[in-house]
Amino acid sequence: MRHNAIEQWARGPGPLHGMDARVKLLVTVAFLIAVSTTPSHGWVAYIGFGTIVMIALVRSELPMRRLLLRAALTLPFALCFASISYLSNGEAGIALALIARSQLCVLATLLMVATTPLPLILAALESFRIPSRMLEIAQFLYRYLFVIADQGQRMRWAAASRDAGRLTRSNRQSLLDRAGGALAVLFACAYNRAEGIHRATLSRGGGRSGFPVLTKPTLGKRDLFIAIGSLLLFIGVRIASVS
Amino acid sequence: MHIPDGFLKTEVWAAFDLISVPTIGYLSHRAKGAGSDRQVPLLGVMGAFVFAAQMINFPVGLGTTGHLLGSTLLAITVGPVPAALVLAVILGIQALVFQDGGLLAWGANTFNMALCGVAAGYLPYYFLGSGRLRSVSIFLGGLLSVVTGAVLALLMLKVSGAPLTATIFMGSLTMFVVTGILEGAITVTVVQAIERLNPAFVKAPGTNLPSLKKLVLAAACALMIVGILFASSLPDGLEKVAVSMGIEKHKWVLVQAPLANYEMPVLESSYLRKSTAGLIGIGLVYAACLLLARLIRRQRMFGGNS
Repeated sequence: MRHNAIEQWARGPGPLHGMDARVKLLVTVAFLIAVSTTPSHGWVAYIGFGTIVMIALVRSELPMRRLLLRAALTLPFALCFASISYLSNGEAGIALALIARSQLCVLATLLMVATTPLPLILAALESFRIPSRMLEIAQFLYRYLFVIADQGQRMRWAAASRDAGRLTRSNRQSLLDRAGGALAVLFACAYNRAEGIHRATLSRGGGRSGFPVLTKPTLGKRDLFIAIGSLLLFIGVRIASVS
Repeated sequence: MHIPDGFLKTEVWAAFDLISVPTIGYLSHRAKGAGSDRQVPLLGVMGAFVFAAQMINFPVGLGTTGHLLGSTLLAITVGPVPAALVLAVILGIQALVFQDGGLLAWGANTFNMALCGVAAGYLPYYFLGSGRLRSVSIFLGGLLSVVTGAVLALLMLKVSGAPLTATIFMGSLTMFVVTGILEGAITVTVVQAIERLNPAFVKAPGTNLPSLKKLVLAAACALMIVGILFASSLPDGLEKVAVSMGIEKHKWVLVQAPLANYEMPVLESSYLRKSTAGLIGIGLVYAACLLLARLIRRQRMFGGNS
Protein backbone atom coordinates (compact mmCIF):
# COMPACT_ATOMS: atom_id res chain seq x y z
CA MET A 1 0.00 0.00 0.00
CA ARG A 2 1.34 3.36 -0.92
CA HIS A 3 1.33 6.11 1.60
CA ASN A 4 -1.59 8.45 1.70
CA ALA A 5 -1.37 11.15 -0.98
CA ILE A 6 -2.35 13.85 1.51
CA GLU A 7 0.74 13.05 3.54
CA GLN A 8 2.92 13.85 0.52
CA TRP A 9 1.02 17.02 -0.33
CA ALA A 10 1.25 18.22 3.26
CA ARG A 11 5.03 18.28 3.08
CA GLY A 12 5.15 20.43 -0.04
CA PRO A 13 6.78 23.83 -0.41
CA GLY A 14 3.70 26.00 -1.11
CA PRO A 15 2.99 29.34 0.57
CA LEU A 16 0.11 27.92 2.60
CA HIS A 17 2.36 25.17 3.94
CA GLY A 18 4.53 27.67 5.78
CA MET A 19 1.69 29.24 7.71
CA ASP A 20 1.21 28.53 11.39
CA ALA A 21 -0.95 25.43 11.86
CA ARG A 22 -3.00 27.14 14.60
CA VAL A 23 -3.91 29.95 12.24
CA LYS A 24 -4.86 27.51 9.49
CA LEU A 25 -7.01 25.49 11.88
CA LEU A 26 -8.81 28.57 13.21
CA VAL A 27 -9.39 30.01 9.76
CA THR A 28 -10.71 26.66 8.48
CA VAL A 29 -13.13 26.25 11.37
CA ALA A 30 -14.29 29.85 10.95
CA PHE A 31 -14.85 29.19 7.26
CA LEU A 32 -16.80 25.99 7.99
CA ILE A 33 -19.01 27.81 10.49
CA ALA A 34 -19.59 30.68 8.08
CA VAL A 35 -20.57 28.29 5.26
CA SER A 36 -22.67 25.99 7.45
CA THR A 37 -24.73 28.84 8.83
CA THR A 38 -25.43 30.41 5.44
CA PRO A 39 -29.12 30.02 4.55
CA SER A 40 -30.08 28.19 1.36
CA HIS A 41 -31.03 31.37 -0.48
CA GLY A 42 -27.76 33.17 0.27
CA TRP A 43 -26.37 32.86 -3.24
CA VAL A 44 -24.06 35.83 -2.99
CA ALA A 45 -22.36 34.23 -0.01
CA TYR A 46 -21.91 30.86 -1.72
CA ILE A 47 -20.30 32.50 -4.74
CA GLY A 48 -18.11 34.56 -2.43
CA PHE A 49 -17.01 31.53 -0.40
CA GLY A 50 -16.40 29.57 -3.58
CA THR A 51 -14.14 32.32 -4.90
CA ILE A 52 -12.21 32.39 -1.63
CA VAL A 53 -11.63 28.62 -1.70
CA MET A 54 -10.63 28.70 -5.37
CA ILE A 55 -8.11 31.50 -4.78
CA ALA A 56 -6.65 29.57 -1.84
CA LEU A 57 -6.52 26.40 -3.95
CA VAL A 58 -4.66 28.08 -6.77
CA ARG A 59 -2.29 29.79 -4.36
CA SER A 60 -1.59 26.53 -2.48
CA GLU A 61 0.37 24.98 -5.40
CA LEU A 62 -1.31 21.62 -4.77
CA PRO A 63 -2.23 19.22 -7.60
CA MET A 64 -5.57 20.85 -8.39
CA ARG A 65 -7.21 18.05 -10.36
CA ARG A 66 -6.45 15.33 -7.84
CA LEU A 67 -7.51 17.51 -4.95
CA LEU A 68 -10.84 18.26 -6.62
CA LEU A 69 -11.32 14.56 -7.39
CA ARG A 70 -10.71 13.73 -3.80
CA ALA A 71 -13.19 16.34 -2.63
CA ALA A 72 -15.70 14.84 -5.06
CA LEU A 73 -15.74 11.68 -2.92
CA THR A 74 -18.51 13.21 -0.84
CA LEU A 75 -20.43 14.26 -3.93
CA PRO A 76 -22.53 11.05 -4.30
CA PHE A 77 -23.93 11.48 -0.79
CA ALA A 78 -24.69 15.17 -1.37
CA LEU A 79 -26.14 14.53 -4.83
CA CYS A 80 -28.42 11.84 -3.52
CA PHE A 81 -29.78 14.00 -0.71
CA ALA A 82 -30.10 16.96 -3.05
CA SER A 83 -32.07 14.95 -5.60
CA ILE A 84 -34.41 13.57 -2.94
CA SER A 85 -34.87 17.12 -1.72
CA TYR A 86 -35.58 18.40 -5.23
CA LEU A 87 -37.98 15.57 -6.05
CA SER A 88 -39.96 15.95 -2.87
CA ASN A 89 -40.35 19.70 -2.64
CA GLY A 90 -39.43 20.84 -6.12
CA GLU A 91 -37.13 23.63 -4.99
CA ALA A 92 -33.86 23.51 -6.89
CA GLY A 93 -32.35 26.28 -4.75
CA ILE A 94 -32.30 24.24 -1.57
CA ALA A 95 -30.84 21.21 -3.35
CA LEU A 96 -28.08 23.23 -5.02
CA ALA A 97 -27.28 25.03 -1.77
CA LEU A 98 -26.85 21.65 -0.04
CA ILE A 99 -24.34 20.52 -2.69
CA ALA A 100 -22.55 23.88 -2.56
CA ARG A 101 -22.32 23.83 1.25
CA SER A 102 -20.98 20.30 1.49
CA GLN A 103 -18.45 20.80 -1.33
CA LEU A 104 -17.20 24.09 0.13
CA CYS A 105 -16.73 22.49 3.54
CA VAL A 106 -14.92 19.46 2.14
CA LEU A 107 -12.63 21.62 0.01
CA ALA A 108 -11.75 23.88 2.92
CA THR A 109 -10.97 20.93 5.22
CA LEU A 110 -8.97 19.23 2.49
CA LEU A 111 -7.00 22.39 1.80
CA MET A 112 -6.07 22.68 5.45
CA VAL A 113 -5.09 19.02 5.82
CA ALA A 114 -3.22 18.91 2.50
CA THR A 115 -1.01 21.83 3.51
CA THR A 116 -0.36 20.78 7.13
CA PRO A 117 1.34 17.55 8.23
CA LEU A 118 -0.75 15.70 10.83
CA PRO A 119 1.80 16.12 13.67
CA LEU A 120 1.51 19.90 13.24
CA ILE A 121 -2.29 19.70 13.32
CA LEU A 122 -2.08 17.62 16.50
CA ALA A 123 0.35 20.09 18.07
CA ALA A 124 -2.02 22.93 17.14
CA LEU A 125 -4.95 21.04 18.65
CA GLU A 126 -2.89 20.52 21.79
CA SER A 127 -2.35 24.25 22.11
CA PHE A 128 -6.16 24.61 21.93
CA ARG A 129 -6.42 22.39 25.04
CA ILE A 130 -7.71 19.27 23.32
CA PRO A 131 -6.87 16.43 25.78
CA SER A 132 -3.35 15.28 24.97
CA ARG A 133 -4.37 11.69 25.56
CA MET A 134 -6.74 11.80 22.61
CA LEU A 135 -4.07 13.36 20.44
CA GLU A 136 -1.53 10.72 21.41
CA ILE A 137 -4.03 8.01 20.49
CA ALA A 138 -4.59 9.80 17.19
CA GLN A 139 -0.86 9.95 16.59
CA PHE A 140 -0.38 6.22 17.20
CA LEU A 141 -3.46 5.42 15.18
CA TYR A 142 -2.28 7.38 12.16
CA ARG A 143 1.27 6.07 12.41
CA TYR A 144 0.21 2.41 12.49
CA LEU A 145 -2.78 2.72 10.20
CA PHE A 146 -0.74 2.00 7.09
CA VAL A 147 1.37 -0.68 8.80
CA ILE A 148 -1.65 -2.70 9.93
CA ALA A 149 -3.55 -2.14 6.70
CA ASP A 150 -0.48 -3.38 4.80
CA GLN A 151 -0.44 -6.46 6.95
CA GLY A 152 -4.14 -7.05 6.27
CA GLN A 153 -3.49 -6.70 2.56
CA ARG A 154 -0.66 -9.25 2.69
CA MET A 155 -2.89 -11.67 4.57
CA ARG A 156 -5.51 -11.31 1.87
CA TRP A 157 -2.94 -12.11 -0.79
CA ALA A 158 -1.73 -15.08 1.20
CA ALA A 159 -5.26 -16.41 1.55
CA ALA A 160 -5.92 -15.88 -2.15
CA SER A 161 -2.79 -17.81 -3.14
CA ARG A 162 -3.62 -20.66 -0.75
CA ASP A 163 -7.11 -21.01 -2.24
CA ALA A 164 -5.81 -20.41 -5.76
CA GLY A 165 -9.35 -19.45 -6.68
CA ARG A 166 -10.53 -23.05 -6.35
CA LEU A 167 -13.37 -22.56 -3.92
CA THR A 168 -16.07 -25.15 -4.22
CA ARG A 169 -19.55 -24.97 -2.81
CA SER A 170 -18.69 -27.35 0.00
CA ASN A 171 -15.89 -25.34 1.52
CA ARG A 172 -17.67 -22.05 0.97
CA GLN A 173 -19.41 -22.73 4.28
CA SER A 174 -16.23 -22.10 6.19
CA LEU A 175 -15.44 -18.82 4.42
CA LEU A 176 -16.89 -16.73 7.24
CA ASP A 177 -14.86 -18.66 9.81
CA ARG A 178 -11.71 -18.28 7.76
CA ALA A 179 -12.15 -14.53 7.33
CA GLY A 180 -12.93 -14.31 11.03
CA GLY A 181 -9.74 -16.19 11.79
CA ALA A 182 -7.74 -13.84 9.59
CA LEU A 183 -9.15 -10.85 11.42
CA ALA A 184 -8.37 -12.47 14.75
CA VAL A 185 -4.74 -13.00 13.69
CA LEU A 186 -4.57 -9.38 12.59
CA PHE A 187 -6.02 -8.38 15.95
CA ALA A 188 -3.42 -10.42 17.83
CA CYS A 189 -0.62 -8.93 15.70
CA ALA A 190 -1.88 -5.41 16.43
CA TYR A 191 -2.09 -6.24 20.13
CA ASN A 192 1.47 -7.57 20.21
CA ARG A 193 2.70 -4.56 18.31
CA ALA A 194 1.16 -2.28 20.94
CA GLU A 195 2.91 -4.28 23.67
CA GLY A 196 6.14 -3.93 21.71
CA ILE A 197 5.74 -0.17 21.49
CA HIS A 198 5.15 -0.02 25.22
CA ARG A 199 8.24 -2.12 25.95
CA ALA A 200 10.34 0.08 23.65
CA THR A 201 9.07 3.22 25.39
CA LEU A 202 9.86 1.71 28.80
CA SER A 203 13.37 0.76 27.70
CA ARG A 204 13.99 4.32 26.53
CA GLY A 205 13.03 5.58 29.96
CA GLY A 206 9.34 6.28 29.32
CA GLY A 207 7.57 9.55 28.80
CA ARG A 208 5.98 10.88 25.65
CA SER A 209 8.07 12.08 22.78
CA GLY A 210 5.66 14.78 21.63
CA PHE A 211 4.52 15.23 18.06
CA PRO A 212 7.59 14.94 15.84
CA VAL A 213 7.91 17.76 13.34
CA LEU A 214 10.94 18.88 11.38
CA THR A 215 10.37 22.61 11.61
CA LYS A 216 7.90 24.21 13.96
CA PRO A 217 6.46 27.31 12.33
CA THR A 218 6.16 30.31 14.58
CA LEU A 219 3.29 32.74 14.71
CA GLY A 220 4.46 35.66 12.58
CA LYS A 221 2.95 39.02 11.71
CA ARG A 222 1.97 37.69 8.30
CA ASP A 223 0.00 34.82 9.87
CA LEU A 224 -1.85 37.16 12.22
CA PHE A 225 -2.60 39.49 9.34
CA ILE A 226 -3.96 36.61 7.24
CA ALA A 227 -5.99 35.28 10.18
CA ILE A 228 -7.66 38.60 10.98
CA GLY A 229 -8.09 39.43 7.30
CA SER A 230 -9.78 36.16 6.45
CA LEU A 231 -12.02 36.25 9.53
CA LEU A 232 -13.22 39.72 8.53
CA LEU A 233 -13.67 38.52 4.95
CA PHE A 234 -15.78 35.53 6.05
CA ILE A 235 -17.95 37.74 8.24
CA GLY A 236 -18.34 40.19 5.36
CA VAL A 237 -19.35 37.53 2.85
CA ARG A 238 -21.68 35.91 5.37
CA ILE A 239 -23.42 39.23 6.09
CA ALA A 240 -23.73 39.90 2.37
CA SER A 241 -26.05 36.90 2.11
CA VAL A 242 -28.44 38.34 4.68
CA SER A 243 -29.13 41.61 2.93
CA MET B 1 -23.22 6.54 8.42
CA HIS B 2 -20.92 9.54 8.53
CA ILE B 3 -22.69 12.88 8.22
CA PRO B 4 -20.63 15.37 6.19
CA ASP B 5 -20.52 19.10 6.87
CA GLY B 6 -23.21 21.25 5.34
CA PHE B 7 -26.03 18.75 5.90
CA LEU B 8 -26.99 19.60 9.46
CA LYS B 9 -28.75 22.69 10.72
CA THR B 10 -26.60 24.99 12.83
CA GLU B 11 -28.58 24.18 15.99
CA VAL B 12 -28.08 20.46 15.43
CA TRP B 13 -24.34 20.29 14.85
CA ALA B 14 -23.66 22.92 17.48
CA ALA B 15 -25.76 21.10 20.08
CA PHE B 16 -24.08 17.76 19.43
CA ASP B 17 -20.62 19.33 19.46
CA LEU B 18 -21.66 20.76 22.83
CA ILE B 19 -22.60 17.27 24.03
CA SER B 20 -19.73 15.29 22.54
CA VAL B 21 -16.72 17.51 23.18
CA PRO B 22 -17.14 17.69 26.98
CA THR B 23 -18.21 14.04 27.22
CA ILE B 24 -15.17 12.78 25.33
CA GLY B 25 -12.99 15.20 27.30
CA TYR B 26 -14.39 13.85 30.56
CA LEU B 27 -14.00 10.22 29.48
CA SER B 28 -10.39 10.77 28.42
CA HIS B 29 -9.67 12.55 31.69
CA ARG B 30 -11.25 9.69 33.59
CA ALA B 31 -9.29 7.07 31.64
CA LYS B 32 -6.06 8.78 32.70
CA GLY B 33 -4.53 6.92 35.57
CA ALA B 34 -3.07 3.52 36.29
CA GLY B 35 -1.65 1.77 33.27
CA SER B 36 -2.22 4.72 30.96
CA ASP B 37 1.32 4.55 29.49
CA ARG B 38 0.50 1.10 28.32
CA GLN B 39 -2.98 1.96 27.14
CA VAL B 40 -2.22 4.84 24.80
CA PRO B 41 -0.26 2.78 22.24
CA LEU B 42 -2.75 -0.08 22.65
CA LEU B 43 -5.72 2.14 21.86
CA GLY B 44 -3.91 3.78 18.96
CA VAL B 45 -2.94 0.49 17.36
CA MET B 46 -6.41 -0.96 18.00
CA GLY B 47 -7.86 2.06 16.20
CA ALA B 48 -5.53 1.30 13.30
CA PHE B 49 -6.72 -2.31 13.43
CA VAL B 50 -10.35 -1.22 13.14
CA PHE B 51 -9.43 0.93 10.13
CA ALA B 52 -7.63 -2.03 8.52
CA ALA B 53 -10.40 -4.47 9.41
CA GLN B 54 -12.88 -2.31 7.54
CA MET B 55 -10.97 -3.12 4.35
CA ILE B 56 -11.29 -6.90 4.74
CA ASN B 57 -14.40 -8.16 3.02
CA PHE B 58 -16.44 -11.02 4.36
CA PRO B 59 -18.51 -13.29 2.17
CA VAL B 60 -22.05 -13.17 3.50
CA GLY B 61 -23.90 -15.18 0.91
CA LEU B 62 -25.82 -14.21 -2.22
CA GLY B 63 -22.60 -13.00 -3.75
CA THR B 64 -22.36 -9.99 -1.48
CA THR B 65 -19.69 -9.08 1.00
CA GLY B 66 -19.71 -7.07 4.18
CA HIS B 67 -17.05 -5.75 6.46
CA LEU B 68 -16.57 -5.21 10.15
CA LEU B 69 -17.39 -1.79 11.57
CA GLY B 70 -15.87 -2.72 14.88
CA SER B 71 -17.44 -0.70 17.69
CA THR B 72 -18.80 -3.76 19.51
CA LEU B 73 -15.58 -5.71 18.98
CA LEU B 74 -13.58 -2.80 20.42
CA ALA B 75 -15.93 -2.42 23.39
CA ILE B 76 -15.62 -6.12 24.24
CA THR B 77 -11.84 -6.25 23.85
CA VAL B 78 -10.59 -2.96 25.30
CA GLY B 79 -13.64 -1.92 27.36
CA PRO B 80 -16.50 0.43 26.50
CA VAL B 81 -14.96 3.73 27.63
CA PRO B 82 -11.64 3.26 25.77
CA ALA B 83 -13.62 2.02 22.76
CA ALA B 84 -15.63 5.25 22.72
CA LEU B 85 -12.40 7.27 22.86
CA VAL B 86 -10.82 5.29 20.02
CA LEU B 87 -13.92 5.66 17.86
CA ALA B 88 -14.02 9.41 18.53
CA VAL B 89 -10.40 9.63 17.36
CA ILE B 90 -11.15 7.48 14.31
CA LEU B 91 -14.03 9.80 13.40
CA GLY B 92 -11.71 12.79 13.72
CA ILE B 93 -9.09 11.24 11.46
CA GLN B 94 -11.73 10.14 8.97
CA ALA B 95 -13.07 13.69 8.84
CA LEU B 96 -9.63 15.21 8.41
CA VAL B 97 -7.77 12.79 6.17
CA PHE B 98 -10.36 10.60 4.44
CA GLN B 99 -13.19 13.09 3.75
CA ASP B 100 -15.52 10.72 5.57
CA GLY B 101 -17.82 12.81 7.75
CA GLY B 102 -17.50 16.49 8.55
CA LEU B 103 -15.36 18.43 10.98
CA LEU B 104 -18.22 20.45 12.44
CA ALA B 105 -20.39 17.34 12.30
CA TRP B 106 -17.77 15.49 14.37
CA GLY B 107 -19.85 16.00 17.51
CA ALA B 108 -22.94 14.56 15.85
CA ASN B 109 -21.07 11.59 14.39
CA THR B 110 -19.30 10.97 17.67
CA PHE B 111 -22.60 11.07 19.54
CA ASN B 112 -24.14 8.58 17.10
CA MET B 113 -21.34 6.10 16.72
CA ALA B 114 -18.78 6.55 19.50
CA LEU B 115 -21.11 7.31 22.42
CA CYS B 116 -24.53 5.83 21.65
CA GLY B 117 -23.22 3.22 19.20
CA VAL B 118 -20.74 1.81 21.70
CA ALA B 119 -23.25 1.99 24.55
CA ALA B 120 -25.88 0.14 22.50
CA GLY B 121 -23.29 -2.36 21.30
CA TYR B 122 -22.04 -3.06 24.81
CA LEU B 123 -25.31 -3.23 26.76
CA PRO B 124 -26.38 -6.73 25.62
CA TYR B 125 -22.91 -8.05 26.42
CA TYR B 126 -23.03 -6.31 29.80
CA PHE B 127 -26.27 -8.02 30.77
CA LEU B 128 -25.98 -11.40 29.03
CA GLY B 129 -22.26 -11.66 28.34
CA SER B 130 -21.43 -14.08 31.11
CA GLY B 131 -24.32 -16.50 30.69
CA ARG B 132 -25.35 -19.06 28.12
CA LEU B 133 -26.53 -16.37 25.74
CA ARG B 134 -23.04 -14.97 25.30
CA SER B 135 -22.87 -15.34 21.51
CA VAL B 136 -26.40 -14.01 21.17
CA SER B 137 -25.48 -10.97 23.22
CA ILE B 138 -22.44 -10.24 21.05
CA PHE B 139 -24.56 -10.62 17.92
CA LEU B 140 -27.23 -8.31 19.36
CA GLY B 141 -24.52 -5.82 20.28
CA GLY B 142 -23.22 -5.67 16.72
CA LEU B 143 -26.73 -5.26 15.36
CA LEU B 144 -27.75 -2.61 17.88
CA SER B 145 -24.59 -0.54 17.47
CA VAL B 146 -25.18 -0.19 13.73
CA VAL B 147 -28.93 0.41 13.95
CA THR B 148 -28.62 2.93 16.81
CA GLY B 149 -25.99 4.96 14.97
CA ALA B 150 -27.97 4.91 11.75
CA VAL B 151 -31.33 5.82 13.31
CA LEU B 152 -29.75 8.72 15.20
CA ALA B 153 -28.05 9.96 12.03
CA LEU B 154 -31.31 9.75 10.07
CA LEU B 155 -33.15 11.60 12.84
CA MET B 156 -30.53 14.35 12.87
CA LEU B 157 -30.83 14.75 9.11
CA LYS B 158 -34.60 14.76 9.44
CA VAL B 159 -34.54 17.48 12.09
CA SER B 160 -32.17 19.44 9.85
CA GLY B 161 -34.85 19.52 7.18
CA ALA B 162 -33.76 16.64 4.97
CA PRO B 163 -36.92 15.41 3.22
CA LEU B 164 -36.78 11.90 4.64
CA THR B 165 -40.29 10.63 4.07
CA ALA B 166 -41.52 7.51 5.80
CA THR B 167 -40.70 5.43 2.72
CA ILE B 168 -37.11 6.60 2.53
CA PHE B 169 -36.73 6.30 6.28
CA MET B 170 -37.98 2.72 6.35
CA GLY B 171 -35.97 1.84 3.25
CA SER B 172 -32.73 3.13 4.71
CA LEU B 173 -33.56 1.50 8.02
CA THR B 174 -34.03 -1.89 6.34
CA MET B 175 -30.65 -1.47 4.70
CA PHE B 176 -29.03 -0.63 8.03
CA VAL B 177 -30.71 -3.58 9.77
CA VAL B 178 -29.15 -5.86 7.15
CA THR B 179 -25.77 -4.19 7.72
CA GLY B 180 -26.32 -4.62 11.46
CA ILE B 181 -27.07 -8.34 11.13
CA LEU B 182 -23.84 -8.72 9.16
CA GLU B 183 -21.94 -6.76 11.78
CA GLY B 184 -23.38 -9.00 14.48
CA ALA B 185 -22.45 -12.21 12.66
CA ILE B 186 -18.92 -11.00 11.85
CA THR B 187 -18.35 -9.76 15.40
CA VAL B 188 -19.37 -13.14 16.85
CA THR B 189 -17.06 -14.98 14.46
CA VAL B 190 -14.12 -12.71 15.19
CA VAL B 191 -14.63 -12.77 18.96
CA GLN B 192 -14.71 -16.58 18.91
CA ALA B 193 -11.54 -16.72 16.81
CA ILE B 194 -9.80 -14.19 19.08
CA GLU B 195 -10.72 -16.26 22.13
CA ARG B 196 -9.23 -19.36 20.54
CA LEU B 197 -5.96 -17.42 20.17
CA ASN B 198 -5.89 -15.94 23.64
CA PRO B 199 -8.89 -15.79 26.00
CA ALA B 200 -7.31 -12.82 27.80
CA PHE B 201 -7.98 -10.58 24.78
CA VAL B 202 -11.69 -10.53 25.60
CA LYS B 203 -12.73 -8.63 28.71
CA ALA B 204 -15.39 -9.98 31.05
CA PRO B 205 -18.58 -7.89 31.01
CA GLY B 206 -18.70 -4.95 33.38
CA THR B 207 -14.98 -4.27 33.77
CA ASN B 208 -13.90 -0.65 33.86
CA LEU B 209 -17.33 0.95 33.65
CA PRO B 210 -18.22 4.39 35.00
CA SER B 211 -20.62 4.27 37.95
CA LEU B 212 -24.31 3.95 37.25
CA LYS B 213 -25.05 7.33 38.84
CA LYS B 214 -22.71 9.12 36.45
CA LEU B 215 -24.10 7.25 33.46
CA VAL B 216 -27.65 8.23 34.39
CA LEU B 217 -26.56 11.84 34.92
CA ALA B 218 -24.80 11.95 31.55
CA ALA B 219 -27.78 10.39 29.79
CA ALA B 220 -30.11 12.90 31.46
CA CYS B 221 -27.93 15.84 30.35
CA ALA B 222 -27.78 14.53 26.80
CA LEU B 223 -31.54 13.97 26.71
CA MET B 224 -32.12 17.48 28.04
CA ILE B 225 -29.96 19.08 25.35
CA VAL B 226 -31.58 16.97 22.65
CA GLY B 227 -35.00 17.88 24.04
CA ILE B 228 -34.28 21.59 24.04
CA LEU B 229 -32.94 21.27 20.54
CA PHE B 230 -36.01 19.49 19.26
CA ALA B 231 -38.33 21.87 21.03
CA SER B 232 -36.62 24.93 19.63
CA SER B 233 -36.17 23.82 16.07
CA LEU B 234 -39.37 21.84 15.69
CA PRO B 235 -42.23 23.24 17.76
CA ASP B 236 -44.46 20.61 16.21
CA GLY B 237 -41.93 17.82 16.29
CA LEU B 238 -44.22 15.00 17.31
CA GLU B 239 -46.92 16.11 14.96
CA LYS B 240 -44.43 16.14 12.11
CA VAL B 241 -43.24 12.66 12.89
CA ALA B 242 -46.83 11.43 12.96
CA VAL B 243 -47.52 13.11 9.65
CA SER B 244 -44.45 11.70 7.99
CA MET B 245 -45.14 8.23 9.32
CA GLY B 246 -48.22 7.77 7.21
CA ILE B 247 -51.12 9.68 8.71
CA GLU B 248 -50.54 12.35 6.14
CA LYS B 249 -50.97 9.88 3.30
CA HIS B 250 -54.41 8.77 4.39
CA LYS B 251 -55.58 12.31 4.85
CA TRP B 252 -54.24 13.20 1.48
CA VAL B 253 -55.93 10.33 -0.33
CA LEU B 254 -59.27 11.15 1.26
CA VAL B 255 -59.15 14.79 0.32
CA GLN B 256 -57.40 14.56 -2.96
CA ALA B 257 -58.95 11.57 -4.66
CA PRO B 258 -62.19 13.25 -5.70
CA LEU B 259 -60.24 16.19 -7.05
CA ALA B 260 -57.89 14.19 -9.23
CA ASN B 261 -58.25 15.49 -12.75
CA TYR B 262 -57.73 13.58 -15.91
CA GLU B 263 -55.24 15.80 -17.60
CA MET B 264 -51.97 15.25 -15.80
CA PRO B 265 -52.76 13.30 -12.65
CA VAL B 266 -49.24 11.90 -12.46
CA LEU B 267 -47.52 15.26 -12.30
CA GLU B 268 -50.21 16.96 -10.27
CA SER B 269 -50.36 14.36 -7.55
CA SER B 270 -47.94 15.23 -4.84
CA TYR B 271 -48.53 11.82 -3.27
CA LEU B 272 -47.28 10.07 -6.40
CA ARG B 273 -44.41 12.49 -6.70
CA LYS B 274 -43.53 11.84 -3.10
CA SER B 275 -43.66 8.09 -3.38
CA THR B 276 -41.63 8.10 -6.60
CA ALA B 277 -39.20 10.36 -4.81
CA GLY B 278 -39.14 7.81 -2.03
CA LEU B 279 -38.39 4.92 -4.33
CA ILE B 280 -35.78 6.83 -6.30
CA GLY B 281 -34.39 8.02 -3.00
CA ILE B 282 -33.92 4.49 -1.69
CA GLY B 283 -32.20 3.49 -4.90
CA LEU B 284 -29.99 6.56 -4.81
CA VAL B 285 -29.08 6.11 -1.16
CA TYR B 286 -28.19 2.50 -1.83
CA ALA B 287 -26.20 3.30 -4.95
CA ALA B 288 -24.45 6.19 -3.25
CA CYS B 289 -23.49 4.04 -0.28
CA LEU B 290 -22.13 1.29 -2.51
CA LEU B 291 -20.22 3.73 -4.69
CA LEU B 292 -18.89 5.64 -1.73
CA ALA B 293 -17.76 2.51 0.07
CA ARG B 294 -15.98 1.29 -3.04
CA LEU B 295 -14.36 4.66 -3.71
CA ILE B 296 -13.22 5.11 -0.14
CA ARG B 297 -11.85 1.62 0.07
CA ARG B 298 -9.94 2.15 -3.15
CA GLN B 299 -8.74 5.50 -1.92
CA ARG B 300 -7.48 3.95 1.30
CA MET B 301 -5.78 1.08 -0.45
CA PHE B 302 -4.03 3.05 -3.14
CA GLY B 303 -3.52 6.25 -1.23
CA GLY B 304 -5.49 8.34 -3.69
CA ASN B 305 -2.95 7.88 -6.46
CA SER B 306 -5.31 5.99 -8.68
